[in-house]
Amino acid sequence: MNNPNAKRSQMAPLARAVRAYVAPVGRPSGPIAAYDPAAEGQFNLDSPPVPWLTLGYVENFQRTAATKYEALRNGPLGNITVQYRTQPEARLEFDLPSWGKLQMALSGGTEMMNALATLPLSQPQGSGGAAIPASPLQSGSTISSLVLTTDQLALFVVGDIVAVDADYGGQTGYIGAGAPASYLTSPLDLGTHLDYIRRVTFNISTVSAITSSALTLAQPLLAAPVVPGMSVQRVMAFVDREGSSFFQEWSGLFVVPADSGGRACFYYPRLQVAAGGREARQEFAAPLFSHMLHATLHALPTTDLNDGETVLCYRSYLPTKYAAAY
Amino acid sequence: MQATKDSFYIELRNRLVAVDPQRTITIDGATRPAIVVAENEPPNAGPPLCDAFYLHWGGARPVLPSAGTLMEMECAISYRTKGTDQNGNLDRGRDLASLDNDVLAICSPPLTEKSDYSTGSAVDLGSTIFWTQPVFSALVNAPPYIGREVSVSVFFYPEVNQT
Repeated sequence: MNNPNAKRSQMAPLARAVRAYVAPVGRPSGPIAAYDPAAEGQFNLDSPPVPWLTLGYVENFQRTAATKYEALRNGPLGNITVQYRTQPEARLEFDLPSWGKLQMALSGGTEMMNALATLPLSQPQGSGGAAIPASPLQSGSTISSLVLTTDQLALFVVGDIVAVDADYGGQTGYIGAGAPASYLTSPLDLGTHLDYIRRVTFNISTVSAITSSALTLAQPLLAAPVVPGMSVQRVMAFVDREGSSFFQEWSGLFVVPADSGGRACFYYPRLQVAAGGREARQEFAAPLFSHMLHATLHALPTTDLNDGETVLCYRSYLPTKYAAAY
Repeated sequence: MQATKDSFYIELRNRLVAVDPQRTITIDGATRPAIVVAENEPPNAGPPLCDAFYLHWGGARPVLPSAGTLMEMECAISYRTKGTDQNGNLDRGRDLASLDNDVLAICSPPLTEKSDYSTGSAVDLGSTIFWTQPVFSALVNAPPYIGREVSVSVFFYPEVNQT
């Protein structure tokens, strides 16, 4: 039967790449970014819905279900009476060709440090030495424009990466505006750690232009709105460390957009790193090679409010028009 | 297959109008976007015009049995230029680069809806066509012209027996 509204040829998604997005998780018990395939399934892949942030394309996307399947057996032959699942567990691995703050955080899984621009003759340190003092934000600053006094404005040039956050005030627990960037079990010395939050914050961007009074940012800051007391410092590099104690946690959304129509989505409400950062080398034109960040992640459980079930991952498929439903 | 050819041509033509509206040709007194389907031109048509894209359709074959009736058809996009007289034809290279840029621009994104244009207006056929990234040949130097050919594989579901 040739039914124009039930084409089987439209049921096979043929895609070029997997696109990845992450969203901050409110820790320890704050909001988790939702992804509703009914309301947001056909979102513009270049402009994901708030609060999702694009990670770019990923390669070698591989999901592994590790939940244990057990069985109750009965009778002299030990026939299976009923099956049940225990220890819900799922893993996820992929390679990230793009390097950036979020990409490294997801791959490394520990605190993702911002190596702040240092003072001349500063004592060298692995995650950045004593930093040039921060520039306080002035009123009128937004997540896309940082208003500074004229003398402070002169410290920046187009192309600078900047970190925007509050001075460290002795707090403990989760640290950082916009997304939990580290966890302090005990207070740090205030005298020498004034810049600590800006050293770890995800509230970063790149200066795309400089006006007479403000830095214009290429990408909006994560934490909206900008609050009084925040300051800005230049970031020279991103640094993560093998051996740290902190675990990054993000919501993850992976989309397989099929050129042939249809879209498969994999939504992980909670992802934490399951193995330390490593890289995958991919030759493409010797001696050139791509050095991709490899991410190995563990899916943590959440509860589906529709029925109270424990969920690690949601897989959804949005068929193309005229595709057969089954 | 005709719907695939027509949909590909129409999409590239519309994109060319958007990205480079000045790139036009005049044939038989009619000015139109500088993109032509070679097999749709009369048998006695003259040599290819400069600074225009010519689509040449090649062979076709089934791709993946598991992906239904998906087929692949080759398309070559050829073009040439001789630069401009006011610049003593010393701008041939730059003109060719401009044509190259236009090809990259009109081939992206690499997909579009497939429609039937046999009645003169577009009738949605309910599927997409999609294609590979363009592959550029080496420069062909045939004085006074320089040019090249770009290869693209276009994927489609045939209109015949499509289920």
